[in-house]
Amino acid sequence: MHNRLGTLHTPLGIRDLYDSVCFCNRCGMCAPVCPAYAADPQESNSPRARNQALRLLLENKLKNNTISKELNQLITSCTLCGRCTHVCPGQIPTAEHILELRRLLKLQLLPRSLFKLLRLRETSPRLFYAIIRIGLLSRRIGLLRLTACMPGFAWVKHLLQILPTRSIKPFAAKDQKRPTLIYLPSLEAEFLFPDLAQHVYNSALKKYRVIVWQNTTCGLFEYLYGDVRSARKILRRLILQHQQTANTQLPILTDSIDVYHFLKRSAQLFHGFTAWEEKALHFAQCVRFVTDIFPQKPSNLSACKKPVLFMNSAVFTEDSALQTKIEKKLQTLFKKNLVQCGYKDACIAPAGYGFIKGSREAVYNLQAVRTVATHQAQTVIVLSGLAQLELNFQLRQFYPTAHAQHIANLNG
Amino acid sequence: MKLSPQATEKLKQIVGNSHVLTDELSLSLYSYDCSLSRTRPDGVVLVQNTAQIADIIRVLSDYHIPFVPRASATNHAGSCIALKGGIILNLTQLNHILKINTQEGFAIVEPGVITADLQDALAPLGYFYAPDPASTRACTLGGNLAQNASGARCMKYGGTLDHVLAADFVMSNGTQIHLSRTDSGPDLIGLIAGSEGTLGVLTQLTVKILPVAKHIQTFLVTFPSLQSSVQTVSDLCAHGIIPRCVEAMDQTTTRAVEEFAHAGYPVNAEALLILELDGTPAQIKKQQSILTQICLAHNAQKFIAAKTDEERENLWRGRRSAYAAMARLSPNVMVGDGTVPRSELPATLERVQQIITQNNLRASLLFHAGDGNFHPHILFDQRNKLQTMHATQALNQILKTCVDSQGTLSGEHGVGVEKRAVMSYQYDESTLKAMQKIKHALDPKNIANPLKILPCQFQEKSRQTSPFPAEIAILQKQLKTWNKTDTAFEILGSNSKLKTTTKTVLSSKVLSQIIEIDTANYTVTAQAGIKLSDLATALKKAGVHSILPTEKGTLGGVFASGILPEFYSQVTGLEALLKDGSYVRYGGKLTKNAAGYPLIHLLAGSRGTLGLVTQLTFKVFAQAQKIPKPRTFTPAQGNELWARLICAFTEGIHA
Repeated sequence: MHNRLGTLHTPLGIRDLYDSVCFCNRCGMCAPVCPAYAADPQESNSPRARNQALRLLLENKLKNNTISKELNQLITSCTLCGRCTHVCPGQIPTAEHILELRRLLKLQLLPRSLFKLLRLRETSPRLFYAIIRIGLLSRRIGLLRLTACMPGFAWVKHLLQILPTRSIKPFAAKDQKRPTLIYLPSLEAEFLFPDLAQHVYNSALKKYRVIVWQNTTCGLFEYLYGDVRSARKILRRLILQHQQTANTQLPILTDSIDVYHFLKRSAQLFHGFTAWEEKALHFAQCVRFVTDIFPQKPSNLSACKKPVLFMNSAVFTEDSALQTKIEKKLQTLFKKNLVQCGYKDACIAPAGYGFIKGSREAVYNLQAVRTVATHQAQTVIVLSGLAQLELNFQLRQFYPTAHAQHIANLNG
Repeated sequence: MKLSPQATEKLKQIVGNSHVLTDELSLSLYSYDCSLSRTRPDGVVLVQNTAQIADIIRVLSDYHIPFVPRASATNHAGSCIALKGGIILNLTQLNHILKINTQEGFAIVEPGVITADLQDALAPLGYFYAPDPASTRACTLGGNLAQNASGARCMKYGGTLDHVLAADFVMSNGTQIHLSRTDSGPDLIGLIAGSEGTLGVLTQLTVKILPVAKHIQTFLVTFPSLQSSVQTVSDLCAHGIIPRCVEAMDQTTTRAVEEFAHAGYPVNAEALLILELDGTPAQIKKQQSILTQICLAHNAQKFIAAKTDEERENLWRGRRSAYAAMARLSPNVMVGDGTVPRSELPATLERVQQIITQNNLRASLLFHAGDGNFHPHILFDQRNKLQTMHATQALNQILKTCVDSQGTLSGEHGVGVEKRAVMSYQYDESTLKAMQKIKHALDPKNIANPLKILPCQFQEKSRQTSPFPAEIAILQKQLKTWNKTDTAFEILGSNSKLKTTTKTVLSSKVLSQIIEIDTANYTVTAQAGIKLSDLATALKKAGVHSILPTEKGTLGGVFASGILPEFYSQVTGLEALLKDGSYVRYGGKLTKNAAGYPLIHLLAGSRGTLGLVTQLTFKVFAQAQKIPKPRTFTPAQGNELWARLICAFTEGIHA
């Protein structure tokens, strides 16, 4: 299998990469909803330009060596949010195209040290766990700041900024017998923000017998920033693990919308391998998000100061019927107190994966703050732990009256 | 051509180093719009504020560098392509709404403001901006005026031009001009509307805003034939009901849309109309009962009235997703915008369907039934050269069919580069020459979006001039004699305004016929010399009404003297004898025409300085209209733009 996908499962069927790119009719509907274009409205920041650049590259009409700086900028400006696909008449999956382009050009977007650390979670989970524990300990005594000063470790500084100030104890849970639900905590919920994982776990316990797949990577980071081969390997293992646990029908719960979207499209990674593709499709059908285990009326609505703003930031938003469902649910719960975003506001991505977006991170984050400030929202509901951490850091600085909350917190 | 280092340096001094792009990738990314055309510019200037535009254009003019103003580049005709290379002026960063004044009903905006952004800003205030092109979420207000775009609400509210009150404009030599609809004299905003950036760059617009209609009622009606659906619209107009919008689609389109959007459209009907009425509840109720009767008279099969906002949204969802329903079936969609008089729609659509079948193509047909503007969405794959050729050929044939049906090749998308060839099929040589004169007068160096709109070497290809009445031939002969002998003369109607004592006059007195009162399209075609009182009598007899006053003077006089600017947008066709003796024909019984420079607006309020208007076609109504108060006759205010036009049209003539 190649290190690229080559064939994509687009919203309108299976297409090879070139075919999918050629479906862009250059109508320009995508540009105004793109966070990059909103920050700096010029063609190279539009999804249309990304598709055209890829098409020219595939047609050998652009020579990569002469334009690497500009091309690099064009590729890194994409947040992979997929809002362009949502408004595109042809539903072109530009985020997937950009990922393929990154793989084609072998671009390494994550800082090397961070990428190596995240890879350890897969290759040597125990070492990864040990490093995290040492990291959290040295944070308490102030040593981690020194690491942030080392070349190539600037991301540590930002990590320290967004983390809660109190000490962090890694998430712990006990597996139950005859499980009815698998909880796959996201990286941030398990290590950086264990309160979230604990909360989701406790909520799930009310209805299900839960087993937790601790320190288990799902392949999202590898898919976004590494190579497809590693992501595929991880997914294959997850699928097997799922098959071997109790019966193959167990729902898999995740607390991160990004992980949810990735797992839902896992079949795409196995295109051409019918047996695995079918297994992946079945696996994807078992994936659930925290809102799927909510009771009819969540118990902690009073914790949300009004007005409430829903920020549906995530990667690959385009195929998310779930987000529409959540928005409708929130409308029922908060009625007039749920702020309606304009078509542009809704597209401004708060920084869920902020620390990996490169130099534009600050601009996008400020856009998110501006959206909150424009609507004078008091509570911002987000769908991933990373979005909550990052947005709260930004709000603390620029709009301290507002606070971001993971949607799981609505439920007691 | 390559940009000289000196010119590049000067441009960088104006906008900053990082805002002049000359790298390979950027040039490739500014080489396209929504059409098939693709040409790389030599540089891209990212304009940061409106004040920079005049300075930039001065530099470009000094170095003879062509430029193309470009914002969202959603154009379907290749207007944003730098055919001769040069510079792309990227205006997307000029996206500020500068002022909204609901008390006086206007908004001041920069040209790069996205149309929907203005709507979003107005909505909380209870106001809206009437033009609504289908690409409203992507296109810009500057682009809308440059193409004179309209949209579904055009029938009732008109196109972009009807909603622009003032515009700041930078000519191709860098001169800044402020144009306003309150200026006396010619309608210069009308002239630059639809000029596609070939005359200069728009830097600021003042647009009209209107209070939102509190009550809107939407209907879906199906018919057994396209003919009956179009006739329904005509009959509605005859009863004085102008719907807020009338959208229509044929059976093929309805099926494609329903399959994709599941909007609940009946798929067995030959034609489907979506109508929308607005006004007070009492008005809507009254209009609805007339609408029901008319629909029944035309064998309407289904009549669905939306009861809730949700139902209304559902009816519109199908229509709005028509482009998307087609876009997902094939990599490329070619969208045409031919326009014909409303009465010609059914026959034209039948021919269009034949053309599509003959070329082995798949296409859907959507049309704004109210204004005769239809949009064939032709599916093809650009990678398949044969299919692309067939699609291009089919579109050309469709546009020619429109022209043959007294229509135009473009109702709202403009000519750009892809429809230039059909321009010579639509217009005769003298009309194209008059358009060329406008271009030469305002852009003598040919640097503002060159090679657009006008066909190359049209002298050999243009349509044969059709014969004109004997009385006009006499006037033309007289004019040519005076030109030969260098005799000074004046152009007159009934001399009720100018009150000249000169003896050598070219008068429209002999032109006093009413050519046609067309109650199917609600237009009147009359010679310009007809007295307003005679015209009023004839209209009354035919049971139609216009907005013309019944005072002294002639039809041509009221149009050319500039005393009734409200009448300009009612005029849909014009014939005129220019001072050099050439005879021009523009428009006809069409509600909209975006093909070429609008000669109607060039001659409106021109006070005989450019030529004699000989014939006008204008809209009439079934019910009495409020007649605007004519202004006092004053000399035209001069500005450089107008001075240049006069100079071009009277060159070598003793004017």
